Amino acid sequence: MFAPVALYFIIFAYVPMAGIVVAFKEYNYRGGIFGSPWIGFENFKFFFGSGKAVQVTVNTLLYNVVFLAAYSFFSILVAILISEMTGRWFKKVSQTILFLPYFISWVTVSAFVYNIFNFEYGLVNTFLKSIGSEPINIYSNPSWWYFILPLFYIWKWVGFGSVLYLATISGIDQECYEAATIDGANAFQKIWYVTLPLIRPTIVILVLLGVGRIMRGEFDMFYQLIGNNGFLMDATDIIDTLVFRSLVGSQDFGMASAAGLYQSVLCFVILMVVNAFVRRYDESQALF
Amino acid sequence: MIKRTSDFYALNAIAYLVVGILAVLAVFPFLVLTVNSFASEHEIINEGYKFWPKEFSSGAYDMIFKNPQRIIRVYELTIFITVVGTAVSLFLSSMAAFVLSRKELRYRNALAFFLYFTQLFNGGLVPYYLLLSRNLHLSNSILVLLLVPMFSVMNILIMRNYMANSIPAAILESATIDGLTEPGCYARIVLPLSTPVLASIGLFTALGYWNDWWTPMMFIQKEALYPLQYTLYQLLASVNFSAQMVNNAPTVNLPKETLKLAMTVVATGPIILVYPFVQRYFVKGITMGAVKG
Amino acid sequence: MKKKLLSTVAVVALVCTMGVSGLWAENETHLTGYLLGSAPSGLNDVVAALNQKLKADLNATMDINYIGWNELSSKYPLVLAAGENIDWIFTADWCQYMTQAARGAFKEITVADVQKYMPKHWAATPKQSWGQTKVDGKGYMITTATPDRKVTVFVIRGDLRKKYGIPPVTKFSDLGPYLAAVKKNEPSMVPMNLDSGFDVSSPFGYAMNDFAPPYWSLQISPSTSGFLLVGNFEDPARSSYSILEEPYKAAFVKASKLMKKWYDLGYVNKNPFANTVRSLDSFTQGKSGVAFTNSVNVQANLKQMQDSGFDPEIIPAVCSTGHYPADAFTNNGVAIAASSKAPEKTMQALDLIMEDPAYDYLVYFGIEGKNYVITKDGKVGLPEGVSAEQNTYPPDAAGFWFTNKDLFKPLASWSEKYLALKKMIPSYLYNSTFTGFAFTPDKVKTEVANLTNVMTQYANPLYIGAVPDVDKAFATYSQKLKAANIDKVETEMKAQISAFSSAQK
Repeated sequence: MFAPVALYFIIFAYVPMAGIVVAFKEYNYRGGIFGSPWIGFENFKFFFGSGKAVQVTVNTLLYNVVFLAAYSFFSILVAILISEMTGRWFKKVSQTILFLPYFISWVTVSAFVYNIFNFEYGLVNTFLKSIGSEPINIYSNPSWWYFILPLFYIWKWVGFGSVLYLATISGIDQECYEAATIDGANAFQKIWYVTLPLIRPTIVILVLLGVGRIMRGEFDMFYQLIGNNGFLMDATDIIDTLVFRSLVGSQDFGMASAAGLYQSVLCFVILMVVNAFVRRYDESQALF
Repeated sequence: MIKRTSDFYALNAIAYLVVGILAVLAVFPFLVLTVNSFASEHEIINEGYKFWPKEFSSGAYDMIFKNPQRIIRVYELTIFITVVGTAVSLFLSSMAAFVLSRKELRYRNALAFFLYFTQLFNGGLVPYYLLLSRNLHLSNSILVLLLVPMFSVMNILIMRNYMANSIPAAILESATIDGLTEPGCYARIVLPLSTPVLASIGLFTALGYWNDWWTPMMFIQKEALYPLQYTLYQLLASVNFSAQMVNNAPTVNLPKETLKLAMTVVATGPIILVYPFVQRYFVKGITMGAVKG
Repeated sequence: MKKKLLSTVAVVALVCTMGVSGLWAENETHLTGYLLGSAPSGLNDVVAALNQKLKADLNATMDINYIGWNELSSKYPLVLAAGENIDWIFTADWCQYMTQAARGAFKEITVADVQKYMPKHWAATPKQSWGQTKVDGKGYMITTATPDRKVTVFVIRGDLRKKYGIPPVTKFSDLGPYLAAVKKNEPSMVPMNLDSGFDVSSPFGYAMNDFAPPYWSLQISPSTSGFLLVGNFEDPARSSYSILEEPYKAAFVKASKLMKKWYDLGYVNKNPFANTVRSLDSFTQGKSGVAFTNSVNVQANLKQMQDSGFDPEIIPAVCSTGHYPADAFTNNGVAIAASSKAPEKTMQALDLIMEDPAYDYLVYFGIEGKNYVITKDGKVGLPEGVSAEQNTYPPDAAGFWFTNKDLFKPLASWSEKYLALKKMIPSYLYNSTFTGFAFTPDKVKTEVANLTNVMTQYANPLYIGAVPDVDKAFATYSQKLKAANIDKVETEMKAQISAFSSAQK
C-alpha cells in the first residue's frame, strides 16, 4: 500500500537528488551533471563572499519564525472561533471569504500596496494630505516593513491555515465536551481544557513541518513587495532574494545549487534538533 | 441541548467580532480588485484604484476571452487535471498515510524519514528537468501535469498524524480480531473516519493542481496543453513585454494593469465554489456517528 | 524489487514517447526551433504554410516552440542543457549568447559552412558580422543581416512646453525648467514617473550621456544597467575604465547630483521600485511628462499620443559628441543547438527563412490577404476589415527578429513624424570600436554575482537621486564595489579587450 508513493519519491526525488553534486562542479553541457569538472567549494564563494551571508541568513530565520508563530496562532484562533459560532450562514460564508486572499498573487498584492501607499497619489497619503498631515513614504523606511510583511503573510494564509485545524476540531469526539459540561466547565474552559489539548498533535505536526522550511524564504512575497528597493534591502533581504539577484544574470547552475544546498543543510540541522526535542517530550508526536 | 449561558454568548460575540473583522479584511481587497478589473486602463494609471471607477471598460476581459473556445478548452483541461489528479493523489497518499500510521509497523519512522528527507534535500532544478524531459520523456504530455504536483510529503504526514491520533486504536484492534485485513481496515474503517482530513487535504491538492503554472512553464510547449493559470500568466507576460521587445508593435492600448486584476477574478471563479462542498465535512460529531453506525 | 519497478516504468515511458515521435515520415527531416515570447494565435496557419514550402524546397518540416519572457532566464539554459528536440534557437548578445556559447550549448558556425549551406545569407551579410560572434575564438551565432537602426530617445509634451513658454529642449540635462513647469501647473501629473522594470536608471543614463565622454558599458549581467565598467567607444585604442576612475567618476557623481536635485524638487516619483507602470505608458495616458524609450519602440505609441492631443517631441539622447553606438549584428541572431541531428538542413532552412522574400514575409507578417496586404502605394498594410487588434499574426510579434528586414516595404501604419525620425537616425549612428567584443565572465563569475548584488542595493538609489548626500552615498558604493572585487573584473575585462584588439588586427 505504500509502494506507489515510495516509487514516486524514488523516481522524482531520490534519482535527481544525485544532482546535488552540481554544487561542487563547473557545469558545462558536454559533460552534464556527472561529466563536468569538480571545483570544490568554488560555487559557494559568491554567497559567503558577498558580505551579506550572515545578515540574510538571520533575516530569513527571523522572518520565518515570526511568520510561523503568527500564522499558527491566527489559524488556530480562527478555527476555534469558527467552530464555536452558532450561525450557520455566517460560519460558512466567512470561511469561504477568508480563503479569498489565497488567490490573490503577490504581484497583485504589490500593485495594491502601491496604490494604497504610494507617495504621490496613494490612498493613505491623499488622506493624510487632506487632513493637513505630512505624507509618509513607506518605501524608504524599513521599520514599516517589519509589520507590513507579517501582516500580509497572515492575511494571505490564515484562511488556508485554519482549514486543517477546523478538520481536526470536527474530528473531536462530542462526548469530551459533554463530559466537560457535566463537570461544570464554561465555554472558554472547554476550549482550554478540551479543544486545545485534542488538537495539539495537529499543532505539533504543522509547526514541525513549518520548521523544516524555516530557512526557505517566501521568495515571491519579498520579491514582489520589495523588489530592487535598495533602501529596504538590509532589513528585508532574505537568502532567496540575495541569491536570485546575484545569479539572475549568469544562471549558473552550480552556484544556484550551492545556495540551495546551504539552505537544505540548515533546515536539516534545525529540524533534527527540534524533532529530537519533541521526541524526548512525547515520542508519538515526533515527525520520525 | 446546549445551555445558552452568558459564557456562551460572550464566546460567540468574540467569535463574530474577530472573524468578522478578518472577513472584511479578506473580502474588501477582493471586491476592490473585482470592481477595478472593469475600470479603464487610463483611469487606473492616472488615478489608481477606486471604490467605484468613472470609466468602465471590459478591455481586460475582452483580452482573456478573445478566443472563447480556447478559454473553454483551457477550463476543461484544468478541471480534468484537477479532478483526476486530486482523486489519484488522495487515494494513494491516504494509503501511504495509513501504513505510516500503523503502530504495528516497525519501520514506520524510517519510512516517514524516507519521505521527509526529500523535503529537505533536493538535487535542484537542473537534474529534475533533465530527468523528466530527457530520461522519462514526459515533456508535452498531460501525464507531466498530473505527476509533478501529485504527492506532497506534508500532506501525507498530516494525514498520518490525523489517522494516528483521531481514530481510536480500539476500533482497529477489534476489526482486526473480527478478521478484517489491512486493506479492509483502510477502506472500511479508516477512510470513513478520516473524512475531515481527507476533505481538507483534497482541497489543498486540488488548489495545487488548479494553481500550478510552474509545471507547464517548465515542461509544456504545446499550447493545447496549457492549463488555466499558465495561460493567464503567459498573457500577462506577453502584454508586459510586447511593447518593449517588439518593433512595429501594432497596438499599445493593452490593458496591462487591469489585466492583472481580471486574471485573479478569472482564476479564482470556479475553484472557490469547491470550498462550500469541503465545508460539509467539517461538522462536529462525525467520528461518533461513524463509529456507532 | 523497487529498482526493477523503476526501470520498468522508465522503459514504458520511453517506449510510449518513442511511438509518438516516430510519426514523422521517413527521409523527411523534422526540425524544431525555439523563439522568445509567446505564439501569436495565427501561428499554426503560418507554420502550416511554412512547412508546405519547406517540404517542397528541402523535404523538411519545422516546429516552432516559445520560451516566454518571464521564464527566459530559467528555461533558456535548461532547454539547451537538455538538448532534446531542438535544432535552432533565437539568441542575441542580450539573450545569454556568450554564457551559453561558453558552456558548449551551440554548434560552431564556420564560414565554410555558411558559404555552403546559407549562400543567400552569406551574400546579404556584411563580412564584419562574422567577426562579432566570436567567443573564445569561435563563432556560434548566425547574426541578422540587418541590425536595428535605433537610438535611445526621450519624449516630452510639446503642447505643454509651448503653453508654459519653455524654449525647445535638445539635451536631457536641460529639462529642469520643463519639469518645473509641469510640476507647478499640472497637479495631476508626475513630471517623471519612473518604474522598476525599465526606467530606474534611464534618466541617470541620459544625464551621463550629457556629462561623460562617449561611453560603452560592459553589461556584466542582464539584470543590471551598466555604468560599472566602461570604455570610450570612439577611441580606436579601446581605452577602458571602471566607474571609480576619471573621467567617468566625475560624470557619475554629476549625473547623480542632477537626479537628486530633481528628486528633491518632486520632479521624480518617490517610489520607482514599487511602480510597475512604465514611463512610456504613463506618458501616453497623460500621467507623466517624460517618456524614456528608443526611436523604434516609440512608433507604436505615437498615434495614441497625437490622438490625445499631445504634441510629442522626440529628442534623441545621444552622447556628448552627438553619436550613438550602432546596434551590433549580434543584437539579433540564431544559433544551432549542439545536439541538433540535422545542422546542415537547419542552416538551409534558416537561409530561406532569413533571406528568401517569400519566406521572410511569411514568418514576419503572416499570410498575405489574411494578416497583411501590399497596398497600392507599395506599403505593408492590413487587409480590409482587419484591425490591428484583430490581426492574428501582428508584424514582428512572432519573434523572427533575425530575418532580413531590408527586404520589407515600409509599413502603412508609420506616421509622418515617425518617418521623419527614422530618416534622421543614421546620422547619429557610430560604429563603436567595442562592437563585437564579447565578455566571458567564467573566470570572475563569483565577483560578477557579488557586483550585480551590490549594484542593485547601492547604485539604484544613486540613479534616481534618492540619497541624502550623493558624495557620501557614492563613497559607500565605491567601498562596496571594491569589497566585491571590482578590480579583478576590471583587470579581466582589460585582458579580454586587448586579446580582442589583437585578434582584430
